[in-house]
Amino acid sequence: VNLWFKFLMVSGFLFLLLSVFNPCVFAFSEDEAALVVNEAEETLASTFEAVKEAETNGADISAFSELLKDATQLLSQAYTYFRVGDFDKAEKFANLALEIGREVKSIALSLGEIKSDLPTKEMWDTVIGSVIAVFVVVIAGLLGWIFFRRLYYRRKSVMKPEVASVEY
Amino acid sequence: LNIKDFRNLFVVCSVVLSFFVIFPTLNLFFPFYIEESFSELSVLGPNHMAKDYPFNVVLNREEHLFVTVSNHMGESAYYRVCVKFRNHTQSFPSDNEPSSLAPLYEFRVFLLDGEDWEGEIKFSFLEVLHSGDAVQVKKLMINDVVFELDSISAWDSEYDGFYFQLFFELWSYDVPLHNFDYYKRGFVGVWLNMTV
Repeated sequence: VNLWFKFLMVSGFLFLLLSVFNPCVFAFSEDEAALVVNEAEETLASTFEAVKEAETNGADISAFSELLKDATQLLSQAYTYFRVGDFDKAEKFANLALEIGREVKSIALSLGEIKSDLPTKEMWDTVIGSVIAVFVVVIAGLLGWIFFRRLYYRRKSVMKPEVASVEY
Repeated sequence: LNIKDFRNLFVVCSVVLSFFVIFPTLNLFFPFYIEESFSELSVLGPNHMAKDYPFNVVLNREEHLFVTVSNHMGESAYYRVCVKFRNHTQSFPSDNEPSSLAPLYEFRVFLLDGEDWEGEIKFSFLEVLHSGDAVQVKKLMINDVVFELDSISAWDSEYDGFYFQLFFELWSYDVPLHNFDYYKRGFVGVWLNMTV
């Protein structure tokens, strides 16, 4: 019993000792952090490519642009911490960027597949604006012309010499 | 001029005016006028204006700058702004080539067409060695991150000072290249005189 008690005590002590050094045990090495940072870099690059494709196909990308902004910012923080040797933080920020990047990529890819031939709102605004403006110009021109013609003939009739018969 | 001449004049004026107002729509389908596409990189002083830039810097005093990027490319863009530090003999970017120095700090920015971005740069010199007619910068803090450096500047007798430069390079993501590419003439910087 005494031996078992000693064994348990030593085990407990070793367990406590291990928990003290726990952060060191699970700290990321430079290579591990580099791997995650590179993966985040590649993911965000491919995400941007997918976003561009979706944009080219006429998709509205403004809905997830904020997410992509957050992801790019997180990646830059990951790079900064990697450069100063804080690999734990570098890995943490790179993983967050990676997570958001993957999410945005899947949305962008699904949007990119649907090639939209429908004109965008901006396009519609331009077309409708132009049609209304042409209509206004034509109507204004026509009304202007009618008014001018009346004025022209009125002036002409005033200026016309009166013909009168003269009896001798 | 008789009435027929006036009628022709009205028709010509209406047609010309109609062409001007329908021009934006025609340009959508038959683009004969293409807007110039470009990106902008600028550095602003602590008051968000192009003045009051830090110049005479001392040890442990925090200085502020703002770096801005604007996207006028006609489509979304992914940028990288590299923050670099040099003395007057080290590599400086040219119109076509970036500086060969490694970036200390960097920003990654995704911008939609027509969007602007502004990032703050807080920097202070934490360790500077002065030996005779040279100054060596050992530690520089940018946005609360400490960078170890080994940048030496000799006394500049022409301009009376120990000069360093904090500069920014703009890189944009090139889809066909699958990588970032240095944006032509994409650099700005501020000269700093280390006063000891």
